[in-house]
This record gives sequence, C-alpha cells and structure tokens, in this order.
Amino acid sequence: MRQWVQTAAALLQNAYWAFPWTRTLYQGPLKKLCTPGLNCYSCPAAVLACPLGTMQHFLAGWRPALRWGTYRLGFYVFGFLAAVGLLGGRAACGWLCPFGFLQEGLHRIPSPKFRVPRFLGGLRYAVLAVFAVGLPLLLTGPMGYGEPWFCRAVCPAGTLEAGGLFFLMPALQEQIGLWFWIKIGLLVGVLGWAVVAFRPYCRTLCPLGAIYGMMNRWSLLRVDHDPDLCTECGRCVEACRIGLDPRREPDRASCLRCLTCATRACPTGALTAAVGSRRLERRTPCAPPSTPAS
Amino acid sequence: MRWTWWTGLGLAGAAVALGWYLGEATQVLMNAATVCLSCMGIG
Repeated sequence: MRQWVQTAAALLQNAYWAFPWTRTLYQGPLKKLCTPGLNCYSCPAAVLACPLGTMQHFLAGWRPALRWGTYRLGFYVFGFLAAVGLLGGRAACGWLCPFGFLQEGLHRIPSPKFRVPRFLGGLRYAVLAVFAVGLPLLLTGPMGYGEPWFCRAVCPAGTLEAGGLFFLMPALQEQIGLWFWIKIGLLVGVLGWAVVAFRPYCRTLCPLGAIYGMMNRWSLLRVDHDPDLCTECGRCVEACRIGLDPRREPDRASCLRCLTCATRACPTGALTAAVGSRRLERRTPCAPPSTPAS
Repeated sequence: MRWTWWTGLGLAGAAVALGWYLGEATQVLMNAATVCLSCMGIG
C-alpha cells in the first residue's frame, strides 16, 4: 500500500505535464502551498512549493523584512513544518517524499547491500544548521539578502528536478560553472549510494528529515509497543530497513514511520500503528511464525 | 501531553494563518513560480 501512496504523491506533486509545450514552470495558485516532502519547485512539472526552499528563502530575507517592517519572517512555512511534524513525524518522509521514493526504487536494483553507519545520522543536523539555516541568515549581500545555500550547494533533488530546465531553456547552459559540477557529483554519489544502501540521503543529509524527525517523539501517528504481547522474536528488527529496534526505540528521530514493523513484521500485534493513544487494528494478517520475515 | 500537543498544533496553525495574513503565501508563490538558479546549481 505504501508504494501506491508514494506513487500517487509523487505524481500529484508533479502534475504539470503541459511544460513541454508551455516551456515554463507551473505558475498557478497551487504554488502558494507547500508540499510535505522534498520536491523542488523548479522542477518543470512541480505544482507545489518545496518547504525547505521556502524556509531558506524567508531566512535569507529576514534582515530586509525586519528593516522594512514587512515582518514576513516565514511564519507560514515554520507553522506548516511544525503541523506536518506534529501530525505524522517523519511519515511525510516515509510515505510522501518523491526523492525518498526514488531512492527506494534504486535500492531494488540487484547489488551488494550495505548498512549506513549510524553515526552518520548526525550529519543531517549539521546540514540543517549550516546550509539550511546558518548560511542563508548570515551570508548576506549589500542589500541584506542571503541565499538558499542548501539549494545552491547540496540539494540533489533540486539538481535532478530543476535540471529539466536546461532542456526547456537551453540558454541557461551557458551559466554552468563549478557549483553545478559539485552538485552533479553529489547527486551521482547519492543515487549510487542509494543502490547499495537504503535511503542514505534521508538518513544522513536531509535537513527536512531532521526537522520532522525531531518531532517523531510528539507526533500523533506513532508506533506503539505493548511489552505484554511481545515475544521478543526479533522480526521487527529484521524488517526495519533503517536498522532500528522498534521495540526499544519506536520514536527515534531516524524512524521514517513506514510502519512495516507494525503492519507486516510483528506476528503478535505487540507493535501497532497508533493515532495518539488509540492503537489501530491491523487489517492484514501477519506471516505465520514459521515464515522468515522479508 | 495531550494538551501540550494541541497547544503545539494550535500554535502551528496560528503561525500559518499569521503568515498568510502577512502575505507570505503570495511571496511563496512568487518565489516558487520563478526559475531557481540556485536549485539548478548555477545561481
């Protein structure tokens, strides 16, 4: 079911298929709205705004907004990010993010598979602090405006999706310089890594995932563990592709809320998805205990 | 915990409403509807 939701979400967020004829971005009113996942608004097909790009845009304009008294400080996008995080935590990553979905597709390519070292998870907070918040706020030009440094120097989703504009607007190819090749190298590295590891970008670099992950602990959608029903069979640990132990750390910030442990792996119902304090009943039966988890 | 969560969600909703009132949604539209050279790596 999750793959269907991911497919639908990717298509709905990129539903402007007239771009080959109009040769421009979608510019309609839907772009007033942010999408929960990482989806570049300069993708020719995008119909919604990327929350991370929008957040940096407002941070980069804080000084002029205060100086000129407009007070457009990004309440809209910060409120949106808080609401998404409080409702689902990283469920937006696990179910709605097109770039996460792409990485999952790449991971299906047959190849040797490797774990992502756990300590690398802390990198995404550094990326958030430095590229998505610090540099846009602090590195300002003569007019007081900063730049969206995460988009400029890191974002592989932007490189991939906004790259379509080079075909629609060939004149832009003349401006290709060092930053472009740095971003292409990063994109190739991330996509290659995704073939051999499960969603490495989401787990090590994504500042949006860092923001949502901080709210996993308080989100309405949760994974609930009932120790009285748990037989310690360890299937949930085998099933978790992030490498967590859902029995001990169901609210950990790196949990993508894919709910595989609760809906497919646990044979006794000890782990279930929950909305608030209400445990959701499982509709599909688990595999019998003699069948190994996949 | 429960009322804290509702307070958080209420504050988030209020922030969205305040941002909309200040015209931030229109600014989001203007930003998202123009070509982002930074996203392309050429800004």
